[in-house]
Amino acid sequence: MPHPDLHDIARRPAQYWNIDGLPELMMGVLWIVMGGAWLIGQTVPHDWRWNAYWLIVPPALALGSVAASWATRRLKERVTFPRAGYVEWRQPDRRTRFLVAAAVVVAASTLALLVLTSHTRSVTERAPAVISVILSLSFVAAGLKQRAPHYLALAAVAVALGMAVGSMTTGWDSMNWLFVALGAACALVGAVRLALFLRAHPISAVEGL
Amino acid sequence: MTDLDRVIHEPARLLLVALLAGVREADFLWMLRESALTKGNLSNHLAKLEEAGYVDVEKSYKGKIPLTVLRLTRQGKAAFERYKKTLNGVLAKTDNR
Repeated sequence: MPHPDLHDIARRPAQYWNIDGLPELMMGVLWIVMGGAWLIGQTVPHDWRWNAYWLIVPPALALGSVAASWATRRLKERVTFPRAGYVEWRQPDRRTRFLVAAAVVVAASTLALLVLTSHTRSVTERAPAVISVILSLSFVAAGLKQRAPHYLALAAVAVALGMAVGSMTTGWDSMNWLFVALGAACALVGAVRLALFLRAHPISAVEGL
Repeated sequence: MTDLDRVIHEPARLLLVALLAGVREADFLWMLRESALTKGNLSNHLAKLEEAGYVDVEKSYKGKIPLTVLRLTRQGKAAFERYKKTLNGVLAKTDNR
């Protein structure tokens, strides 16, 4: 047996997280729900229904992100672990958490700066492109870290959709359409990968020492 | 070279220790898939690592299916870190020659 490449082995747990397409599927569904809820919100009559809708929906969507993460984990326990093995991942170390938090702060500050320094119209025109670039960079980072080429494809889709949706000039709605369209693309990729995973990994009878 | 931990230095066991170092815990099936060893080979190497106190093996059942969960002990983590440091030292010396 050749001497193992320790750098390659260190990446394996992260690669295993997206072996089944479930994370992309859940993320896609979440984005469709988020964009859809915002689009529906624009059609609600401006009376008590408007107030009730916007009182309930934003917290529900915030909880939805937590629920999606919980559901992904439960689905992995039922679908992935019996087929390809159980893994309890390590929590990211302090440095990684700091870098992620810093990236989020930089992205949020860039957006805030854009909103504050631009006219309302140009903000609504630029926002989908800016958001799509940020999402695209996130996909590229994840794709390189996890050696997942399909994330690089999703990065390209994100930019293309950002430009396409941004050119529709439908105001803030274009942002919501971006999330719906990108969510659909993610969900589709996730569903295909899940189908391939299920076909390639029948439930294993192997166990025990 | 004599400083290298012989238990870990064996390629298959190094692979197993490195795999377990990247996760909090994992089961036998995952190790089998990731290491591409045979079931018997994997069992033998895990037994040696357990004997050295580097791996903690917990056997239980999930329903009627046996479940073997493996995790690196504190001693195992320290040994792996020491091994990497020693190996890097050896490689640095080789590069300087």
